[in-house]
Amino acid sequence: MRQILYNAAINEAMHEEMERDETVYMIGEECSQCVWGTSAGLSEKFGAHRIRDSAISEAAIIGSSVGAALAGYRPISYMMFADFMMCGADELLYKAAKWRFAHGGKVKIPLVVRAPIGGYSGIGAEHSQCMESWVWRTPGLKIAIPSNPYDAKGLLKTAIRDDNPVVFLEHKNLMGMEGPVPEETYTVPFGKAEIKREGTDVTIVATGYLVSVTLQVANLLQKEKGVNVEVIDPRTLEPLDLDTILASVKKTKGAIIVDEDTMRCGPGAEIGMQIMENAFDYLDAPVKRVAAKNYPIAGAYLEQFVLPQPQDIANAVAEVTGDSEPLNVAGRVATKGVF
Amino acid sequence: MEVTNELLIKLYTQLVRVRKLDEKMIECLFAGKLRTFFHSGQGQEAPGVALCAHLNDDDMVFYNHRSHGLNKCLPKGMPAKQILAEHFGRATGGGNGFAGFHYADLNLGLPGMGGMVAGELTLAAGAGIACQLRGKGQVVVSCFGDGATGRGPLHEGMLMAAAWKLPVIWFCENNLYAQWTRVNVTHPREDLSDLAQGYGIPAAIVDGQDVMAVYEAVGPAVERARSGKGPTFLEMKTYRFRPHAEGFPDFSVQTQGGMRPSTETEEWMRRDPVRLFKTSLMEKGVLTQDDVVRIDKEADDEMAEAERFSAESPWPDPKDFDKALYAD
Repeated sequence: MRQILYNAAINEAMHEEMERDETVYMIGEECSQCVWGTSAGLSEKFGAHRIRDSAISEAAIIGSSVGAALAGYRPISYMMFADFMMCGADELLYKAAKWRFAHGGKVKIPLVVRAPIGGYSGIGAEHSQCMESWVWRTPGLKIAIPSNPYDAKGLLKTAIRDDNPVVFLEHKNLMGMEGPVPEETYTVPFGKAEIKREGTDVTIVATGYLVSVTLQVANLLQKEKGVNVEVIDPRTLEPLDLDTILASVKKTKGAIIVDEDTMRCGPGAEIGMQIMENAFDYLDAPVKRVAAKNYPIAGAYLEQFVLPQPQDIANAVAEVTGDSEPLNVAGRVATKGVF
Repeated sequence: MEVTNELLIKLYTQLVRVRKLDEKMIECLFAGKLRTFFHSGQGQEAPGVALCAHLNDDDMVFYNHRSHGLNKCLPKGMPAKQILAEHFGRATGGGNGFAGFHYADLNLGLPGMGGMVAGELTLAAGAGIACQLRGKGQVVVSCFGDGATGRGPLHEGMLMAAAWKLPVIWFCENNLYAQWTRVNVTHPREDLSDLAQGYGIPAAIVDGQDVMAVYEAVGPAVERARSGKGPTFLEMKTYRFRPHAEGFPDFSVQTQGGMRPSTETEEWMRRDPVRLFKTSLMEKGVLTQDDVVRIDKEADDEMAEAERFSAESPWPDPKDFDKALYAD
């Protein structure tokens, strides 16, 4: 199968869906250029009416998209950095998320907010966040977090076709990741986790960029310690494929959640608690979280002391499997930044 | 649109219906029948009534908080019983009982309302994008009070509408008070329509107590939007006769510790939009005393029927939560 980049996969999904449905349009700050390289050829093909470069007005980017969705269109609301979504918090968390429910299901809001997430580039507290927990505690939104090019294309196509508001968290560090993407059209369904690596000794649920980091750690653990880790990528948090996670935990008897959002109230807190509620009797050790420490994301050199590191994953595996000597992966599994 | 006697009588009838429903809301609130609160809009009937007289079903109105939108929703075609039933919390309400005091009906061009003042203003710009892309000459009206002009979404929405010539009418009902605070405490200028100048949006100041003045001001704005020339800002100078919310002391009235001098309220109440228009139409011979009595009676009967309907309607079923949360 051909190999293409993550940002090219997103670009292909945009081309295909905008060709397929003329009610799809994109709006955002310099979205015709897109600093992450996902916009190639879009404005040339679809014009300025469908690839709309807006002012620096996040409330209006998201809010106008809600209004257009109510009026029968399928906007893609583009944030240059996911952190900026909160400048349109009312528009995202209240209008997009609540209006269908609050009007008794009488309206639908087919809307995608594409928002590049993630750190490891040293660019500080308001340019590095993963926003899952902001979004996930808000009923009414769906959340997709693609961890590779195949999922990026397939999940984005599903998001655009969905009749609900979807927050699509594409990771900045993955933009240059290469992976197999078929030429023929396909979609990736929401609510279907993927087992990225089969294993028997412990289950790691990982999201976004940290899926590939976890897989690298898992491969070293297999080779050097004989520890066989199962890695599950939920791909969408809402809806969440809890069945696949629970089946794995019941098999391995151990659970770790690896996520780049905050430890406090982050996805690890929610998924970990769901495991506790539904599979406690199967666990041989407490559920373990690897996540960002409860600080704003520090910039530059200090960032590594806030964001989860590969060694944290290895340490967590040792703790859950009862190994007193964690594998040393420092310097062997690198976290890659885009700047 | 030609001003016929038929139109004049229709406008008067709508004014009466809006006033009567507002009164019915208060009556039902104090009788313990509403499951929510109510913010009366008595005194502000004319802007919504005259606005909707220019609009088609597929034109969209983002109504605003004051009077829970009934001066737009009722003349735009939502039945009184649906509006009242939502306040009763019933499944037959304009939000299927899920909203408390909001309603939606896309077939009537009513996409809904939220709880944040000014929250709908950027949505109106986006509906304007959709209508512009669709190219059928639809108009979007973004309704708000003077209070909303303190929030950023107005500026983001107006900037977007002005830059892209979106078919949006910025429809401001300036009743001088945001909750209990007078606009001159928080704003440097008296006329809120001054805000439009910075965006190059044409603006007009309108006597909001005079339904025909509003009607004449809205016409050109609708025409401008329909023909692709872009947004207009209309500022209604109007007034609410009652407290910010029913059951609260009127902190804006001086005698109750607030800022509204009783001479101010008395002066505005002399210009009651329903009474002004009735007097005018009777003087012109468009309405007879018999007509007035009949229109009043019909509105009273309609509101009594809405109350009966609301009280007898079923409660919504929480089993429908999931269906309401996500579309299939």
